[in-house]
Amino acid sequence: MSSTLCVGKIARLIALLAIGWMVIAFLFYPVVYVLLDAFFPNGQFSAGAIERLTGSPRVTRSIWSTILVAIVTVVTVNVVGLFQVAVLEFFKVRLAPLLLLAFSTPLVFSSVAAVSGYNFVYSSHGFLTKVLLTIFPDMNPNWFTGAFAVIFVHTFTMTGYHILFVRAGLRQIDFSIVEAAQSLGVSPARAFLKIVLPMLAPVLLATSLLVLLGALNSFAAPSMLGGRDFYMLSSMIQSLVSLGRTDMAALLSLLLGAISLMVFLWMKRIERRGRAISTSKSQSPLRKTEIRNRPMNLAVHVIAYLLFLIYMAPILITVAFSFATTESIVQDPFPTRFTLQHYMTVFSDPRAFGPLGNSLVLSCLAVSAALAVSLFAALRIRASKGIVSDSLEFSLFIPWVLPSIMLAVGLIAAYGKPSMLIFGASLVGTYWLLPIAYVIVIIPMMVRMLGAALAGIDPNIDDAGRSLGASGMYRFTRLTAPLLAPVIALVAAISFNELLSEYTLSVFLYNINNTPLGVALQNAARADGPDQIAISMVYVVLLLTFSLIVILASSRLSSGRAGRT
Amino acid sequence: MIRFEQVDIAYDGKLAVPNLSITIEDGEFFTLLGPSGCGKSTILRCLAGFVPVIKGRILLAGRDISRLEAEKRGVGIVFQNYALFPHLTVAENVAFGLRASGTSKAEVAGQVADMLERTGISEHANKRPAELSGGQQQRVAIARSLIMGPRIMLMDEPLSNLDVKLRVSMRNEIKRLQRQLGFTTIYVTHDQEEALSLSDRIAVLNKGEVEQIGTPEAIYNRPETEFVCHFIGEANRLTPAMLGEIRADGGDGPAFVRPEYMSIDDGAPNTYRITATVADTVFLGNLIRYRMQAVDGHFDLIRSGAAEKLTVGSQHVVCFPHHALLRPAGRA
Ligand SMILES: Nc1ncnc2c1ncn2[C@@H]1O[C@H](COP(=O)(O)OP(=O)(O)O)[C@@H](O)[C@H]1O
Ligand SMILES: [Mg+2]
Repeated sequence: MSSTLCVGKIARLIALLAIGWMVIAFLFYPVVYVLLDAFFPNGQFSAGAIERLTGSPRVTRSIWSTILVAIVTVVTVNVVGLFQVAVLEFFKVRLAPLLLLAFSTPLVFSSVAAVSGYNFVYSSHGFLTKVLLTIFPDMNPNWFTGAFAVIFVHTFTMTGYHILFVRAGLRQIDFSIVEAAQSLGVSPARAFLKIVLPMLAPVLLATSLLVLLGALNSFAAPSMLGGRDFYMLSSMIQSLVSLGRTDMAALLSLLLGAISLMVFLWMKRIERRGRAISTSKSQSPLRKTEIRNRPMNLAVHVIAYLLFLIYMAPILITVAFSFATTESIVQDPFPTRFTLQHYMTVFSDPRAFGPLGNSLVLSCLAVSAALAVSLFAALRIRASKGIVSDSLEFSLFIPWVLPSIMLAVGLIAAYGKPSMLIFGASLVGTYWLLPIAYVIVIIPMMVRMLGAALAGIDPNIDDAGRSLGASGMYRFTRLTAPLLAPVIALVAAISFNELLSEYTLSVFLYNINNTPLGVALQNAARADGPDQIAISMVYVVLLLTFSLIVILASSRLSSGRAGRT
Repeated sequence: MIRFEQVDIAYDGKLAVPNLSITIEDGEFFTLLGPSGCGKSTILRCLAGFVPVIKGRILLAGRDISRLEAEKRGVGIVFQNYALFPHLTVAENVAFGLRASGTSKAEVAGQVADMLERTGISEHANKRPAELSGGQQQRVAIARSLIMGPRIMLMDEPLSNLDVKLRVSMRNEIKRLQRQLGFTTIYVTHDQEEALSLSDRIAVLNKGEVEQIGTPEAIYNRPETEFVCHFIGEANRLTPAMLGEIRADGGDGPAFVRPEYMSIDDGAPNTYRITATVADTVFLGNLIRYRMQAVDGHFDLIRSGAAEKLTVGSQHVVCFPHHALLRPAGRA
């Protein structure tokens, strides 16, 4: 009895030490190394990197571009997002359910998959360009590039927060407030602007900061659509890394990290301030109002349906052409000849299956490892408060604030040569660099969700087990784990889905032996071969399908759990 | 003058209020009284323009407003939950309507100060609704509507969220403002005491239909339907044996007597008499309620706490004046 107790203790200690090593080696050390690389390139302080950065017009331009694009994105996303929320919840617009479907697509269609999808519509060999070329043969087929293209894609892929949070905020508003405004002589449309919008200010600000964070760190869009001359911080860092200028890349990623941290802290402050905006005790639910001004009503409908097309086109085109023959892809604006060939190729041709297989394996590895770490950490954090738990919790949440790019640059800088911390090995150029980074970035979400689930489990259950004489391990496998199982499955699925289409770390850290889907899609976007395009369309469809399954499963699970309690 | 002419009001095709016809005079304090769910709010919201008229029409000073947008009706409304704008201060809430209609800032400021003064919330001008008590929020809601100078004010159970003491003082406050400013008030409540004490006239509603319209006295003393008789005040229904015993004439419909009209027979003229036994007593402080058992039923008798107590099991002759016999005709 006492010997098993002792073994358990030692095992837990070893696990804790392993996590500590992981955090130090793959999180703290790389971040510190970024600082060192930026300011102490040869062990001595040097402002050389700063000088070189400020001396490079391309770099300074990328900084301003990033700021500009981020700000414009926040504005355009708010305009489009608010319009969507208004036509979904406030004004009577015909076919609203279809609009809801289209406007929800950013929830399952983002990052590299979405950028690829938009490329299939707007790029030089895209659907719309093909159609336009038949009308205007002289137009520039590469029109969809640069700042405009990046902002365009940002605008229509980042409205998901509006559909989630702003819409929920709007639905909570007591409709009698609108009626009160009406009784004071104000039409519902004006009441929306003068009363409802100001009431939504807190949630709009929070959402805007999320969008800002997303736009600042956006990488897939500028790297795939930026073209030769347009760089944002992220794509500039990538370019510097590929040129071997890790000191300058480190400094830039530090800048990006600092800006992101500021935005993040701002967001936390708003969250803490809370939003006790409603004083009403009884609420009357929001009712949709007709827009009485005829031309206005028409305009709103036209814009809403136009947005529907913008949102659905990349998905519909991608799905449709993924079933089209290669000739049809090259020649037709609409697919006319259909085949399952591309799907068969992806699953039979080793070259086509490669990236998909790599991503599946990498994600599986990373999710398993991260799940083990997160479960242990979540249980430890819940079991006892104290310095160990607190620092564990704090450390594992850092990647949540830390831009992926900074982590990537840190790992590259720190492990480009053999390091004592990892027992004399070097990681850059090996298979393991990418999955390690994957593990680090998905842990915060896992710890958070598992922690929340654990908090929801009645502590008496564990105590009951204890009083019946069950050992710690036995209690975990027989009591806690089964209760936690659905959440574990969900967390695993969400993480897996995120990693399948992960882009930033993939691009920075992949090598030839583990080229993942994100990189393959990026390469396909630059290639012109119809086979390559067809294959990447299949990839996008698979990613989309998987996202859809995960999001439906998670909403089923959460509504099921809500029903049971 | 407000006139509902055979108005039908429905929600999603389901009729909530059928065939409503009411006329309300200018300056009148008119109350819609009825149990929860009987359609009071529906009628009020229809008049305000938030629920459409399916059939019939509503006339305001002779003009058909049935199809007019809510914001053009010039009807003030105070909501049950006040519906204050939570992000605006008290002064901004009150100024909202005037500012929206384009009145200049300076002019609005003067009017707002005046209205805050009148409603007794000047000291809270710069607070937000969440910082106010229920009664203060209520005043803001009233001030916000009144500043627009409406000829008609609609109030939907405005006192129901207040505690009992505050309810009585706000009741007087509302009545004072109404007398002072002379606006027509349509007031919704399910509380008969509120209705009786405030109103010039009351419409008693049941399941979307008007049971009776009249002054508080008429409603209480001459209920026209069984429902009104029961809903307002208390009423003992006389059983066949009791009716036989009193040998009252006039129809064979149901007959009622309010318990406070009943007393122990002292030989007074023009009274009906029933013999009954005390079955139970309930001490109510200033009053005592006796449950009396007659041949084929029982009834309640309320006596002052100061009067001589009746013992359980003792037999008495109970009497009530002829005019206290209520014979509601029932609904036509
Ligand atoms: N928005 C609505 N949609 C559908 N039915 C409603 C709605 N509001 C009220 N009703 C129905 O209309 C009837 C009258 O409701 P209401 O006017 O609110 O009653 P009251 O104010 O007298 O309590 C009720 O049967 C209620 O269920
Ligand atoms: Mg009501």
